[in-house]
Amino acid sequence: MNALEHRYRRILRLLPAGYRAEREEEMVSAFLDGAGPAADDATARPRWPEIVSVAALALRIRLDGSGAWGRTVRLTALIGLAFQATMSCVYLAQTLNVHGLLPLPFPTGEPPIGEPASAERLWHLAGDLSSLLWIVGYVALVRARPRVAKTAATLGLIGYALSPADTPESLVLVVATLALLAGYHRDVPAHRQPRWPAALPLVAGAALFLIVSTATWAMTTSNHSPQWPGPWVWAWSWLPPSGLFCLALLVAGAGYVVAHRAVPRWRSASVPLALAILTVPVALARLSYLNPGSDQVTDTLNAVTVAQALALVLCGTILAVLGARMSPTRDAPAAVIGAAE
Amino acid sequence: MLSPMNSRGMTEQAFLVLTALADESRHGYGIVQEVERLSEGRVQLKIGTLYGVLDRLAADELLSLDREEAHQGRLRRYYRLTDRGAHALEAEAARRTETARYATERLRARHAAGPA
Repeated sequence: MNALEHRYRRILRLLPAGYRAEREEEMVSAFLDGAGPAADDATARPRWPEIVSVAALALRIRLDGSGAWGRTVRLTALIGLAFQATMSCVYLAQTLNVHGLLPLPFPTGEPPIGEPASAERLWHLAGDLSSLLWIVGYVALVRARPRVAKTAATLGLIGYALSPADTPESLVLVVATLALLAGYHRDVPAHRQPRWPAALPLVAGAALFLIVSTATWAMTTSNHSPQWPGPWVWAWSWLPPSGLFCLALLVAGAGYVVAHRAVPRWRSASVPLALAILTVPVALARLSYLNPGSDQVTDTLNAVTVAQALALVLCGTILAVLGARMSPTRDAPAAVIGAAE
Repeated sequence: MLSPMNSRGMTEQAFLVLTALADESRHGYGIVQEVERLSEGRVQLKIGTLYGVLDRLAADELLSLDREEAHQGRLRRYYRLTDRGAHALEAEAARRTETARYATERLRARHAAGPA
């Protein structure tokens, strides 16, 4: 074995073992045929485009339509987009309300920025309306239009990056969008869901908007009380997007663990693994809220935030273990030519 | 796996690989060379890309393993077009020919109408 062949074989280790066992020899042969006289040069190295093509093939095989990892990544994207679509409904409702278009008896959110019809007002309004992209992305994904979903999510992420929003809160969006881009490739069969899941974020978003708005209004009206903030300090850490997602993940994780123990046929590898993956960016986003202050309110806020992060780590670990136990022990089946004979 | 003959039609790479196998069976690098020749150098398949295309075409039973040979102590697998692959290639070639005919007719009409 010459040096170039050795290097090619090292690159092929990116491929799943089952696929490599079937294909390694002929792929090495094709590589060396392509190298020509350079194959005997001890300093010759595989070119980067070849390495990238093998890495892309390895990713595609691992995330194929039937494998546990493929389903996990796609479910990660779906849950991430579902949550962001729900939050987007909340943001849109807040936008409508601050512009006086919702008949609520109390104001919610900040008043509109800039003079009416000014460029500043329109710029901020456009930013607020960009939330629609996540709703479009989620609905497109549910309705088996992954290319539309990818475009909408990518534009939504770009819009988020351009806005002065908190960066750690966008971590979960980055993870969901990457999962969407990687998991829904051309080898994944299109699977159209019923219409009703597409409406879930709208229903959940409307309910969440009313809860968050009512809580915010109640806090605002009681902030002149001598006992302020009182018990509200325990609720604050649950109201940002990552706090709400933390709560949703903890409830979903606990629900899955109960179902896993009670109903064996509901056991799955992809559901707990997808939830476990999402606990990581949400825990990091929560930790970004830690404040160095030392008064009693700040200490309480920090304590709740640390408890949230620890609960997410614990929940994620349990789910990852359960998911790993349910994962197939062998690699994704290789779609080998010989099998088509 | 999803068919390369999806709603967006057959991919350029799949079309070229099937075309490369239309006249004779070829091994991996032989397909790469033939695709490059057929496309006049425009498409240079990387090995990882080639085997991704071969996987999809084999899953759709458009090609299959023809034989294995040892060449300078290395394994070469030769692939051939199946009957189903020949039909798919024929249909895709007809579709592309029809599209090219429309383009030619419209360009001819444009030239006949003179400069805009």
